[in-house]
Amino acid sequence: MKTVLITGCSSGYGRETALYFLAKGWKVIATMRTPTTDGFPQSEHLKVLALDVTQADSIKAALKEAGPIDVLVNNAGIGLFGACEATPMTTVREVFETNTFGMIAMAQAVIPQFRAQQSGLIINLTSTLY
Amino acid sequence: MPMPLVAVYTASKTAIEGFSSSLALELKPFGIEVKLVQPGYGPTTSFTSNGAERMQGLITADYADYAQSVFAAFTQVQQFTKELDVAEAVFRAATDQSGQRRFPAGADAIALSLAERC
Repeated sequence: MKTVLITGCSSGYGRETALYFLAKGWKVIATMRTPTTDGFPQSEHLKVLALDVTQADSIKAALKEAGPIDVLVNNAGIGLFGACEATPMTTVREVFETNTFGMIAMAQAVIPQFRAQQSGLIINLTSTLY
Repeated sequence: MPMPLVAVYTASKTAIEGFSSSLALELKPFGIEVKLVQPGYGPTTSFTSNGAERMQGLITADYADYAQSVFAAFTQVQQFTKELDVAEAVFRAATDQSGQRRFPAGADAIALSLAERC
């Protein structure tokens, strides 16, 4: 049985993807900033863990708690509508912290384990809107 | 297809496209794969509500009319991406053995990816 770790599972694509893999018989580690099992079925194959992809300590703790995984799904992201000129650089940096640096940090965190097991898959969610 | 008023968001996501392409090559010798799932426009997700407080004041008076027309156009969209489309695409990406690296998700994204191949 394969194990997938998915970020950003509190809602949207992340939660739906977690439910889908569970239904397909995978072991699922569903991560989110504030962990809750609301909306998830009772399952011995499901583990819900706290993970904030912008915090190095949080990444380290979650991966330790998760144990070995086969697939990382980098889903966690934040949206932003707004005129470029009106967007403060602090906000620009916040968006990058999660959508960009968070994905890079998660990849960095799982690569050593994947190299050791000589297998592994990183799936990054992007967009077609460009 | 580019969308207006999401320049910063788009920048954050485009960066991951390039990152993934390079990383895929770098990790191949170690038996590790890197793939992309590319959703289209997803009006049913919390794209906006998750960042509501962050978006206060980002549509200034100068952009109000234009933004109104953009939002009106969004409501006319026939093909868009639903949560299940993305879940299915991620599962395909996780189980596919063909070496495919990009997996469009959602009717609009799939239509776009087909159009790009023509």
